[in-house]
Amino acid sequence: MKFLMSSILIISFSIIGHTTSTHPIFGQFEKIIGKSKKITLHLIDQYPVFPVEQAPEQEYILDYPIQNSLILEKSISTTVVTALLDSNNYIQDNQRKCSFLGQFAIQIHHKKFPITILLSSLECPKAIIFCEGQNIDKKHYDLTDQNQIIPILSGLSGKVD
Amino acid sequence: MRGLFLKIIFFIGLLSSSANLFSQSFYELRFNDAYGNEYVGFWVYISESESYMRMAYYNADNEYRVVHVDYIAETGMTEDGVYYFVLFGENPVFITDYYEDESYNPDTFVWVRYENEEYGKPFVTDDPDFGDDSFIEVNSYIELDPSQFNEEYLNQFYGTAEPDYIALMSMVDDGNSQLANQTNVNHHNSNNTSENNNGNNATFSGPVTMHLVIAANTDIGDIGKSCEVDERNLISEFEGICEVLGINLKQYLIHGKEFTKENLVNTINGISAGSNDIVMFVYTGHGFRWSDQSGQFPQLDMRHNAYMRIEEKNSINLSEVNDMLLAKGARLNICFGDCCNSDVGVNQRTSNTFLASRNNGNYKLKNLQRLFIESSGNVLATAASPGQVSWSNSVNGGFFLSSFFQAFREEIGYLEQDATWDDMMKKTIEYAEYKTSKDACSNCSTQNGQKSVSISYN
Repeated sequence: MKFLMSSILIISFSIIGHTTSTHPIFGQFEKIIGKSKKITLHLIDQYPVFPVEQAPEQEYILDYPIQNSLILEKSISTTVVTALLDSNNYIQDNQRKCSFLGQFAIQIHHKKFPITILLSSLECPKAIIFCEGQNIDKKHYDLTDQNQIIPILSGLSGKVD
Repeated sequence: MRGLFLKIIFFIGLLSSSANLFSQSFYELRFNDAYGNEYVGFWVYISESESYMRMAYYNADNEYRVVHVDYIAETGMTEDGVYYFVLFGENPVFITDYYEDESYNPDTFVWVRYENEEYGKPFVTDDPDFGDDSFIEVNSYIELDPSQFNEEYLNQFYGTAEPDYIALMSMVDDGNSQLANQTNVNHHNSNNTSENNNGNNATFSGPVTMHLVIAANTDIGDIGKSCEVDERNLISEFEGICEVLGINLKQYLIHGKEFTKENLVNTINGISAGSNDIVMFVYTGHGFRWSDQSGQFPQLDMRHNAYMRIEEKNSINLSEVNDMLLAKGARLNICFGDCCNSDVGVNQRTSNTFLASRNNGNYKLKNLQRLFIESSGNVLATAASPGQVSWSNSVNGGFFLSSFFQAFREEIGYLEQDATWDDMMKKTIEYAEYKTSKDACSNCSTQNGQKSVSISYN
């Protein structure tokens, strides 16, 4: 029994002592987001459009028509990145049973691993991550009711031309 | 050890999800305290918010004691990936005699496991501060087969005149487990003739078919997985119910790429129900309400991908589905929607008029019959009130449906006198509300389901 308890204690301490080195939402891509030199904010339509139906003069991101775009200045992109990487803004376990309607797209420019995050609070606050071929691709997360991301993006949307 | 358990207990509710235990299960736990005194706990698990334990032990004067302790369960996973199930005890009440200055500190039980492992024996403490070294692993923890209960065993924990003792003994008298005892039950029989019911309909007024329509948005990106869980649990649960009752089951699945309004309408229109049949419709997917919508029930979002627009042609109101079911003329109609009921920000534009656990044997057959064979009328229920969202996760499915399964198993259990649909739906709504309360889910917003029950019983 004593040996068992000791084993449990050792295992327990190893669990407690172990610090998670990967971001709970973005995993190893946290660094790419954190060090990104170019971030673009797009205002997008609510619904995506099938490629065959897309108008040639219209720009799209992940099939969502782009209404307007803004390349973020350094100080602003830092604020946005901080909010994106704050895992408290996300609900990791549960989902609301309401639909995602497009509102914002954040494009993290990277030569090898470009990341796009769709975000919305139009019907209910949700985020979808895209990074083709990677383990975070097409991951859906609900945002908390008190998330800091949407208010920041909403505030920026007035600056988007 | 303390650090791990404290961490678990302080993280309770942060990432919790509903327990995957089945209602009205019985367990025995044996452990010794720090002084070597033995305790035997008889645990009756009804739901995560309702269970109790009868704890039997000898006090310092070697006098026999039994204490009744209520329990609330919490389950989830810590940031470090440790899965836990915790039982918090409260309201201890002596069943046997006791001295005026005698007291009992309720025990807390903790199960832990890592991914891909099973839960082992729990740890127990009666220290309200979860002090150093206070947790002790129990000596044994076993699930009990109620068919093996006898007076001698139950009298360790109950007085003979106690209602729960009488109810538990009646489980033995009814030859529980009934499911294990049944043979050659012919279900999934599409002929729907009395010859194919093996005489199990002897007390019924004619052959019965349950038409089970499940509309599950299994392909949608965010909640598709949880809808799959719901679909699977529904099929498993109702296959079991129909097998026990000896009634036929016809399943109609609307899912994947076939999850469309057109298919839903055509499927229901295609059902031919007899006057003694049961028609049950369950929806699990996205839901919403139009900005200018009145009425308490939501629109069902029948789009299986984001490219389709939220429009009249891709949605249908749950009450409209209910009306379609009622028009079938079946004896019993049940219509559930596990979805949101929140404002989509758009007014309705009308262009055309158009419109689970592991199945255990701890149930009272009489209650099951009352709900499905001796009842007639209509039950309409949804997961959230107007303006609210509903919740789900990929492990337990929709919170409303998982609460329904809990309430259902409790309602058909031996500790329930007369099962009723109204009682069951009240509990469903209550359990879902609990699951989404701040006590159980810090990131959820509370969902308060809606119901309309109009049922009469033979």
